[in-house]
Amino acid sequence: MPISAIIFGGRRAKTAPLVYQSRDWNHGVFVGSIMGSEKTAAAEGQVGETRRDPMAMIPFCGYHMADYWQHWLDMGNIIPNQPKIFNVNWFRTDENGNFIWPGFGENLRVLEWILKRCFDEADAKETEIGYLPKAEDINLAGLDLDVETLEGLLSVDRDLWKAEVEGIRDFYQQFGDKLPKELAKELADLEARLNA
Amino acid sequence: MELTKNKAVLEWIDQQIKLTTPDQVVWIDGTEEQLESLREEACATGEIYKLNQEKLPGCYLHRSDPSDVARVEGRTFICCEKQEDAGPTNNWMAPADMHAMLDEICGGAMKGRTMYVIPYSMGPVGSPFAKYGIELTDSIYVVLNMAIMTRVGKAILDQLADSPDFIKGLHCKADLDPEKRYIVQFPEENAIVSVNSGYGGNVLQGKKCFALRIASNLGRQEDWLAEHMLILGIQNPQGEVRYVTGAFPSACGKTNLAMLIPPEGYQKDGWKCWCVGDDIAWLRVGEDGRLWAVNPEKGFFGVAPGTNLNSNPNALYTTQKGTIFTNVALNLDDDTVWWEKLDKNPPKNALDWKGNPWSPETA
Repeated sequence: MPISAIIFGGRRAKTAPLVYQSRDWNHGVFVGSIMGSEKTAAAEGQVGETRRDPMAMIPFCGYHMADYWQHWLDMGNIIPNQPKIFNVNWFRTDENGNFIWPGFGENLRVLEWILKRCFDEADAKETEIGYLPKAEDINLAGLDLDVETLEGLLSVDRDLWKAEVEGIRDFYQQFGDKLPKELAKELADLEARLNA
Repeated sequence: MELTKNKAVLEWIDQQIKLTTPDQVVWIDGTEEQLESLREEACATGEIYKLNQEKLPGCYLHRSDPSDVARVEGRTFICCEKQEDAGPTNNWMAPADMHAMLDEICGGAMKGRTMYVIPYSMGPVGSPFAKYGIELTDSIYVVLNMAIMTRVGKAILDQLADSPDFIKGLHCKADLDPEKRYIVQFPEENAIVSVNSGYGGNVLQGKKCFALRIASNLGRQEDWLAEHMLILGIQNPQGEVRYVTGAFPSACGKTNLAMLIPPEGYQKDGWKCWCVGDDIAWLRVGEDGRLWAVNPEKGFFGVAPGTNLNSNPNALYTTQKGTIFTNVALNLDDDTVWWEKLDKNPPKNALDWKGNPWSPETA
């Protein structure tokens, strides 16, 4: 099957927005490399420790993970007609630790925007972390969720993301100088945008 | 009884027979007849239990050893020649040392048992994307599961013909000793060995061992990607069909997304979704310059707890026939199965996953 979009996901109470799109292939590989899930269920606004699982391949990558990322980057150079790369997070919570987004079948509303982006049928707004949808571009018809709540799900908290940069840097340490320079650059660029 | 004249296949199997000394060797030809006779044999020994065939046609129950209920990441190894090629996220041991250790564990391990030779394909047989393997196992449960999860049988050997390009897999249940349990991939040898387990991703070598760990190496060499991803087909009201792939760590909704059912309003508008794969995608550059995905598996391997009509109706319906249930409760009143959160109706008279009497009061 021809692929229009590659979607990376995780489980983050506060950090990652409902959905965002990478700027280009290399940035997309970066987004895949930082995928994470919080170890403990968030409660009362606390954020659990993040377990990183790049491309969900930690238990399954049959060779050096940094070399694997380099292979992903190299693949970008040989796919003339690339799929777009996105990150989703169904699991943001409110101050009581409840999930805000209903998930399940309603996730199709997010996939709808993703596919529109793949075919140049929808706009996006540029943020420090990548392209986010405008709230009005996610179809809420038939859903008991208001636009303000959706805007919350699409928000990017600079302070949380600065902490995220530290977490990513920590995680990347174990790969030493095998870490592809493109990923080091993406991290540095992200940090620069957050501090601008 | 051999189903091929392929020298590489026969020599390798011969070596494994000399090592493990099975009483007999049975080649899996892929016929329903042979599979049915194996099901009967496994029922007779108690390896599997035939469920209520009216409510759950073709379904069986199996209980694994209580110490053997999950993949064991701490005992899974990537044994390439150089440690630096395995990287900080993999367990490594020098291949020579690992082979020595495994040979000792496997030596004579099939004495008194039957060795089943399972030729199998990841991907449709004959597809340019397909890769072939042979798994040698002493477990009928593994044979039956592989027949669900992959394409098995003589057709694979016919396709392979004289080629030495197949993934060599040895699985010995041995004593199911957790202290000697190892799941090992040798990427430079295209070989897999799993020992002292009888469970899931440890021993159904097509899935994680081959389609991800070995295949990611093949992908690097051959310019494609073997990924831990679902593949979902989506048709919009205009009739346009698109596909997406997604990678999610466990407990992040991957299976539910793979089997997504559009909300009512979307269904009325004409949206359709279908699952092409829920676990693994092999991605290649097509002639049209796009990235094309194949699900190399044939069946589904799901996690029961939490699966119900609300969370994932598609998954639940799929389990109503031709399914092997592992480590779930057995409803003794009607020989059906139950698990946590299946519904609000736990069986009053049941056996738990270890085979002990269970009822909601004693739970």
